[in-house]
Amino acid sequence: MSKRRFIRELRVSLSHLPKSEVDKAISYYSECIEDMLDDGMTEEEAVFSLDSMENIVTTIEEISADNGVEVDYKKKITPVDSEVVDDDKKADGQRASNVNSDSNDNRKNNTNNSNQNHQYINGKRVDGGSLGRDISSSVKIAVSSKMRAAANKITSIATNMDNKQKSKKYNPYASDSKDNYNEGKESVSKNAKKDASQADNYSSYSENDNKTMRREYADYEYEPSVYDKSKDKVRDVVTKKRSTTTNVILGLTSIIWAPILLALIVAGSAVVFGLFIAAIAISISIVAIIVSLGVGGLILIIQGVFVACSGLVHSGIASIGVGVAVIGLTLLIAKPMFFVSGKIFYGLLGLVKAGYNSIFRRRARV
Amino acid sequence: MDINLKRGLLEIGVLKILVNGDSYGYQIVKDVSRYVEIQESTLYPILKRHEASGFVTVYSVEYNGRLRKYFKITREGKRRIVSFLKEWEEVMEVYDFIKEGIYE
Repeated sequence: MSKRRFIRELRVSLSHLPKSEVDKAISYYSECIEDMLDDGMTEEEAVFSLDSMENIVTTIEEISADNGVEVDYKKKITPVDSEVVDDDKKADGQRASNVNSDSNDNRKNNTNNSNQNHQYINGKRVDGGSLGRDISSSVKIAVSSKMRAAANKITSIATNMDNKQKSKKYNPYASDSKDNYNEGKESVSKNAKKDASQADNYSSYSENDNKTMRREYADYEYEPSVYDKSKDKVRDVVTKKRSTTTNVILGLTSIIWAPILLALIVAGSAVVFGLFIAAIAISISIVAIIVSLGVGGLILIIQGVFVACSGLVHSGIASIGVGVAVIGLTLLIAKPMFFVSGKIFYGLLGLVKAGYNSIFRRRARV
Repeated sequence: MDINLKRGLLEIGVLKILVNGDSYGYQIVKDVSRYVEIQESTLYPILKRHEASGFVTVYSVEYNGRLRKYFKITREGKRRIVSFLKEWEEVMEVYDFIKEGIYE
């Protein structure tokens, strides 16, 4: 396993711990590996010399708990697949050396090994075909905890390999016996690509797993919040309380804008009506001028102008009067109405919330 | 060796290594391993505990373009060693008592 992969796997395995704790642990192990590299070890040797990932994680959890750090085990992720990816990579390395050596023996070996899966566990190569025997023998001699852990690891990898064989999607040694040499070469490059894509899958696996965790524990962790599937995030059900300033502004706006709007509408109507009357009067006057240019006609004109002016004045006065009346009336009624409607609204909202909480809390208890 | 006994000895062993001079994780593992087997994962909680107890302080030094954490023993840390040695004298008395006549 490379240093980068080890660090990434460690980070994922510690994702249930606070970031500061994770960073400290990563920094420590990263420094240890770097020192080992300076000491002449290879990356694989350095990582291999460390304790198992499980033991490392357990130790860090324990020390974090001892130091009063909150450990959220519900968020814990065990990246089992990554081990397989790494072991495959080791197998690829072995195959690459087989391909490069270009000897008949190796070809024969590869031929014999074709259609078998190989894994490296704790540096030991395990053949897919004889895996069952290896498992049983490993189980028999698993007297120490380390060996028991190795046996579990073998079982886990065997299951994984079995699934892969069944799915026919990934067989690291699927090369045919006849053209094993050439196909081995292709297989190596293909598997390198697959390793890369599998590493990507692993990243997405972690993300998906986190999402699933969040979904699974949303009711518990975020009560009284709810997981919103459409937005893929947890949102608060309780409406955020507005500030006092916002409430005052909104209240004033509600009180003022309604009467103003009504007054404007009424006044506008009155003006239109007055203009209409004035237009009629002017029309009458024009008709009068045309029909008779005598005294009668003049009187009619004056009357027409008077009526027109009167209409304009009346419309103006009427609109102002109506506007003032509406504003006054609204000021008298709007405020109590606003508060009453507010009470009714919050009352209804309270009922809805109570119903909602009772349903979801019951579900959480179940 | 009993695991608790080993843990106790390792804790003091790490402090003793630091009495000889400031050191870093990997070097401490190498030095302590001469006497008691220890891994990096075992050393990590010991160093954290010592740091939390005030037995050691930590500082970083640039090395090969990276930062390396060095641990330095404090006066409290040295007192802890002395205290351990005193306790161990009592343990040795019990040891002598248990041993007496057993191998005769």
